[in-house]
Amino acid sequence: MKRKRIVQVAGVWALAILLSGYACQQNSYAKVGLLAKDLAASVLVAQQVEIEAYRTGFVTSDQHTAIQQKFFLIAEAGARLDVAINQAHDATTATAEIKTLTALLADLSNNQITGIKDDKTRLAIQAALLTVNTVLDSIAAFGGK
Amino acid sequence: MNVDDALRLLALLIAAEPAVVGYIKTLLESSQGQTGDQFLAQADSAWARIKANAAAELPPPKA
Repeated sequence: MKRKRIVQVAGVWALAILLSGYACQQNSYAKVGLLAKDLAASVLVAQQVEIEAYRTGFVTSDQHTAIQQKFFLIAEAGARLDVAINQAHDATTATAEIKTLTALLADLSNNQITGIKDDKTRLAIQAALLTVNTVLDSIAAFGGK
Repeated sequence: MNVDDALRLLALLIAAEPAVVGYIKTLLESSQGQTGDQFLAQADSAWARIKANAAAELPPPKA
């Protein structure tokens, strides 16, 4: 039952991002800001899905620790990306942080999440991370604009 | 998945984790009429929350 709920939550979140993030007409800076906010929110959802999976026994303690360490690093990189966008409007630093985030997300998905034995839990977390990657790709698409 | 399904699932989630979902709901609802600076401030708040959540889930460092 808990696993089903985790899968459902990840699906609802993906839908909500698609409905909320691309509907409004705004200038580029506001759009990037909106995407940056959606990126952070989608990472928060992925983190909550994993925490819920751990608390319901579908993720081991060692896996949980490794995954949360990765989320910590992702949050640090995300905050640096916001600084690059906001304070400096620094495309070079922003691009570097996007690459860092892409690498951290790939590592998380390919090395930590793949170790989760329960198929539905693993797929739910990967689905949540896919939403994160989609938003990150949209931010990257603003490079040079 | 239709809108009714989505709303029903959101209601389930709200019942399960009200504090977190309330915060996420606030983030989602704040997508109209705000400036880039306001969005980025919200993003920073979310990143800080993610870091705090992760720190709370990690074992304490050994002495």
